[in-house]
Amino acid sequence: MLLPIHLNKNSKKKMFIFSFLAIPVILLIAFYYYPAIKLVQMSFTNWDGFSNKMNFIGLENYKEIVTNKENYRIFLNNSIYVVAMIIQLSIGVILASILNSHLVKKKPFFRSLIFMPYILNGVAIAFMFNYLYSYEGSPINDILIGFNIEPIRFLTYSYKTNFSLAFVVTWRTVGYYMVVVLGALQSISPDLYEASKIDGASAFQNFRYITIPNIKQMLHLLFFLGFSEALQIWFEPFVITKGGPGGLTHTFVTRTMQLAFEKSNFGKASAMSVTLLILILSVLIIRTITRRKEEI
Amino acid sequence: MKKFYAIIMIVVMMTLLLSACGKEEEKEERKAVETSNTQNSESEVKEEVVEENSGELSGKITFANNRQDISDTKIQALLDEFISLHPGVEIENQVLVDNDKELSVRMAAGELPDLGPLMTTMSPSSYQEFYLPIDDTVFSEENLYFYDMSTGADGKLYAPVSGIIYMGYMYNKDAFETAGINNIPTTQEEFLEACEKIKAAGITPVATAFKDIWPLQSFYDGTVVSAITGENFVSNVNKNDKLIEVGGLQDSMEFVKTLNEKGYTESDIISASWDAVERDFVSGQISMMYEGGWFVDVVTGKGLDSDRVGMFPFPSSKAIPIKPDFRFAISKTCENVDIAVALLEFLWEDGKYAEACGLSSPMMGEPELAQYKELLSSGLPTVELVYDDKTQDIINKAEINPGEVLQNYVLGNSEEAVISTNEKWLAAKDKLK
Repeated sequence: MLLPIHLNKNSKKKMFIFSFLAIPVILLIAFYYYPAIKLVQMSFTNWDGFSNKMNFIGLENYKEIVTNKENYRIFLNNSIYVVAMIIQLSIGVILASILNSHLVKKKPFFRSLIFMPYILNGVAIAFMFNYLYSYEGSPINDILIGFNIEPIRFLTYSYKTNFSLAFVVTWRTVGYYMVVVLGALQSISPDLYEASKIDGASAFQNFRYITIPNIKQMLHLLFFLGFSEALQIWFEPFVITKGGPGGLTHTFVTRTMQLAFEKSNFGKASAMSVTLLILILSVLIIRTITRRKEEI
Repeated sequence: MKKFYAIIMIVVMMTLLLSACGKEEEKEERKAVETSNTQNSESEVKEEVVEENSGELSGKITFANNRQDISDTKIQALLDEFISLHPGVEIENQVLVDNDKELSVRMAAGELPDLGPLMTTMSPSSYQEFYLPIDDTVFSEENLYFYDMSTGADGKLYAPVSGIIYMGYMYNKDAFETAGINNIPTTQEEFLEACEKIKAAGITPVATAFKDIWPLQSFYDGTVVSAITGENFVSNVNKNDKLIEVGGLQDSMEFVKTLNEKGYTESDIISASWDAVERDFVSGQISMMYEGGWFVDVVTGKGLDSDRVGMFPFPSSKAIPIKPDFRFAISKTCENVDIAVALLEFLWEDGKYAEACGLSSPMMGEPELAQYKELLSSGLPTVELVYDDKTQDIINKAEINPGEVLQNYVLGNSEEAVISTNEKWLAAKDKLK
């Protein structure tokens, strides 16, 4: 015995579990929950990010966020990414179904090829699309000019530029959805498909009545995770357009970052982050309630 | 036995975690001791340290810079030279990838570098809170540019600028020769005529890098306005009820809009980026860019001969604007102030640090850069563009992003851009009263 204290089996088990849980819990509190609490605290102040003074201003920041029409326009930009997420999920399901079928040979190769954009460095992807989206010198437009087709203006002074940025997100993320759905598809018992084959069901009927119901829970989860991601999009607009031209491609998070680091208004930026957190939590609560209703 | 090893592992992990906490406690104690010192006692300590400066230096300091491109080469060479003069000194060279963002976090954590740049938005009234005064050094109002901006609210010197940048139109001499431009334009009419000739020669007359917007900063931060009026725009505008108006920022924004409408900028201004400007200026596909002398280093680094780059003042201007580069200061948390002071004086002497960064020396005198000499040969006086925290406070409170305003002015409804910006400006001014 290493320890002089005599412990019963139950106590030893609890001590063992506690010892292993202690460190991750401490780290979680230190790097996640404590900063979150500080974030909420900062949202009620006008802190500039570096001085020692943090003046309490009540709900002033939240009032400004709610009454600023600019923020609603920015949410419209985020809605483009929500639509893109639905498209990503749909394409992911279709690709996963194809890869799960007997139609495709060399499945590992195609799986890797489709998943690869997801593991590439985000900055590298953004710079690549920066180059691809330029009007002059872009390989895409050079090819189009070679075929006597009018080159495309991917970035314009209009809302449409958000679609160009959303395409980058779609290209990068569809592989992730495909892999997750593929895992869910492979968990469906083949007996169901054999039974439906005997009953003379078509491929579409299989997909509609067997595949979708069996992966429904996974699709729900992916939808809500994707929705949360879409509300937090910042990378592509930040790197490719810097939220421009004229602020037309700002998302909620890029605007928050601008407030914090360019306008030295950490208090209001914190309030914007808390607002986003409340929105995402609301979505999660709705999901939980609908899921419980379905189970009942 | 397995249980034994598991317990050993837990003990080791807990020890590592607690040792990090221990270091933070020591830091907090150090901070508590430092913040409990009064300003007078800090100056007294500082004076003693400066007096001891004549002795042998030994110890370690951290030096930060924001020049990723030359930190390991030119800047490190300077630090090595300093160390060779003071063998007992150790300097940790740190690079700030994003100056303001990193410094704001480090400032809040009380971990500023011993000697390093300030945040660009830092007001002189905040110097005392984070940095040490350096009055007993070689710097004075007589020999340092932007001396007023380098002093705090208490009148003491804290943060000398690291270099100065003369602003003007950089031009590719080969592109000008190809277009048949023999005389440098001095008025806006001559400038537009030159642009027409350059455009006819199949060269882009003026670069904007519109998508990245920061290269057009001079057109929305008051630099060009200061050149046109001969006065520092930023320090005067906070008295006005409008940020953008004719005779002020609207003139410089209108200039960019005119260039775009006449086709004197990149063919697709919205996707025009800085990378393309660098490349195309070197190849002669772009002929002009309104920038500071550091642009010479950028293009010569990409293969263009320095003597093929010229510089002239903004057309129809009354003065040549001088911008300060980053201010540097010694942090209050510095433990070896004597080394930091000695290093600061060493780097600023003869403009060594400025030269390494492609800037003009912050110490008063004739600039070395040939392009600056060409610029100053115009005979125009210079105007120092001193940062004004009142103006910046109003812009921050109004949440105005001047770069986005310029983009909206040039591409969208100019009148609407002006009206909405001025409304925000006035509302913010009223709130800050």
